[in-house]
Amino acid sequence: MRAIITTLVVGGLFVATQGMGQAQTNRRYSVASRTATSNPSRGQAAMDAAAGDGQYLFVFFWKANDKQTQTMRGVFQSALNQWSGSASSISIQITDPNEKSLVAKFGVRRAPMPLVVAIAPTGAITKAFPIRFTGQQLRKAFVSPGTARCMKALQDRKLVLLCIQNGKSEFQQAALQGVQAFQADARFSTSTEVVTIDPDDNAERPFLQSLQVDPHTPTAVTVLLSPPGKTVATFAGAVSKEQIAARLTAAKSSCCPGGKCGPGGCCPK
Amino acid sequence: MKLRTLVWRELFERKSQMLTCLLAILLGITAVVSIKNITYFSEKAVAREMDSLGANVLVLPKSVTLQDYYSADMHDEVIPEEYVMRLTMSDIEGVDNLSPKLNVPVEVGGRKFAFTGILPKSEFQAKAAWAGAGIFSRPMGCGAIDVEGQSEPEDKKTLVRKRVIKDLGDHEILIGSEVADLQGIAEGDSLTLLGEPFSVIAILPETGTVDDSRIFGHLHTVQRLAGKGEVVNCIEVVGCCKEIAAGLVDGVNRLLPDAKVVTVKQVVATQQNVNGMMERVSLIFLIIIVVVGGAGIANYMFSNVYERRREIGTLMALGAESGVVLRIFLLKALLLGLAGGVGGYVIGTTIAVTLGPKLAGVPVFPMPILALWGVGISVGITLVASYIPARRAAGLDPVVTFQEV
Repeated sequence: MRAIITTLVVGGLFVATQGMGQAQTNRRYSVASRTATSNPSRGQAAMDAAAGDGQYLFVFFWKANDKQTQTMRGVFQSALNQWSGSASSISIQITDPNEKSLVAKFGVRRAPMPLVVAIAPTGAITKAFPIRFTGQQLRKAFVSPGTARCMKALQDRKLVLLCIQNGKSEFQQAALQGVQAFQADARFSTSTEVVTIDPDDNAERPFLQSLQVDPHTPTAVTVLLSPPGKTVATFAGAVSKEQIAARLTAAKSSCCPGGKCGPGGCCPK
Repeated sequence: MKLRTLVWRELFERKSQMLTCLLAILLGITAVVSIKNITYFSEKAVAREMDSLGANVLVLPKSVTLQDYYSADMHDEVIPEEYVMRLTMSDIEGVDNLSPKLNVPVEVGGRKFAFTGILPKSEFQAKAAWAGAGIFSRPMGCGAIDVEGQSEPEDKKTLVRKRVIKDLGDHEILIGSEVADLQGIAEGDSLTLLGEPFSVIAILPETGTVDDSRIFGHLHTVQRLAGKGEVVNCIEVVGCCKEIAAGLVDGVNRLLPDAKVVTVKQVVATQQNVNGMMERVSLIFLIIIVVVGGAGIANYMFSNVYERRREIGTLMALGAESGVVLRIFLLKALLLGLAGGVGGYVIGTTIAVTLGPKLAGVPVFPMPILALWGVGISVGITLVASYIPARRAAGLDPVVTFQEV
């Protein structure tokens, strides 16, 4: 009898203790939740929402509400009103303590102000506009999906193997195999991103033009890009892992990239 | 009596006149040797700067004038640090490598040094990608292939050569060779600067420039400790090709109208002008030696022949041939020339080595080749100037000279 009572008392005490702990946890969570919701980063929330909706986000960073900032805010809002279907916007004062982490993430505390940063749905920053800009200039922030994917990888300091091909391209499989073999190589696997674009896609025409690739080429084309957006090599047709690796190694050790050019040395062509 | 005894006696026959001639030659050769010596090393320094820095561009406050590239930040004027991001985010080609600097004087071990804040490339290079999709159409450009997990570990000691550093902690410093030597500092030591402790992560190799007496730290730490705000003294744009630098200047001028953009060519222009002027001065001195020194020697020899005509006549009457007389005077001239050339080289070199660093700001060392030049010019002048008088002496008629007795 005594044992049963002792067990019941101890068990009751144990349950009571657990209950109190849970209540405390709930309160902390509630407090934490209340804390989180009372000081959220609007910028981060806007970024998450825009990415979820597949929209561009234009962030207007500013420091002091001076005349330049007011003028540019007007230009900014006017431009964004025209793109309400494809882009959202937010204004962030860089001295706002709630936005401290976002400002640090972008590294704009010492940037010229006001500053507009355009973020693609991929998370890539497609363009920045310091101090003064026009609506027409802001429009240049919209890039093709292929460009945005490449820019995201490059901004993450990765190599990009851009495969420009479709079902009709010659040597399509051979090129793809070479690219996949390169990406599978332990030396390059964590630092390489593969992006494929269709040369027949009109949206990608400006991108192909900037890479000096003919969109009407019948052959698969593979372009090796390095951060921040340099074309290291372009391969037409079939390509092997060894060829890609060789061009990368040559670029790393050659005169201009990473080295010093003498008075009569190399210059980019 | 031997020929050389005759020549030796001839030399000291009219000591004062001989010394005057010698002095004229000596001073002239001294001037030419010293000027040529200093100019040579000054030109070499300029060529070296153009070679290693020729593609570089400096962004400075408008009011600053610049004499020496390496001390571009050694002034009190400032420009906003935000200029760095403006350059990075722009579409100007060739601004891959930037080195903004802020200079603050500090005292270490009772001596004053320059504590130079530099901004590591990792803190702004990401912004280069914010230039937009236009970046894909730019040429490959300069700068390393910088890929996550693929880059070689950075040797911090290359800062003085490459002018840019990739990473630097808030309390990490790099020490110039002169600072390290004077203070006995080694890698891994701790140093307190402006009241805060710093860790010495590298001792930089000697460069012979003002960088040897610098301590390099993180720009933002230096700004905070100095209380100067978000400013820099200069931004060094490290180019890798002169052709890019040429196009860079216009772009930077348009982007930063409130700053001054200076190329290395402009920085060294003053020194190049001075070198050119010194070359012209040395040429003038050479002409003066030839004219004045040569005329002096010729005058000395002519008067010597006239005064010594009885002795010359006596010598010839005793059997000395014209050739012997000619050789006596030419040997006399040769000895004068040798003395003037050697003496001028020694004194000229001494002046160049001691005064050259002060005048031209570069180390100057002896040049043995100038000894050959100095002696050659000196002997040449004395021989040419003495030839006609010597021929006249050799052509004297002993009978005529005896008639004058």
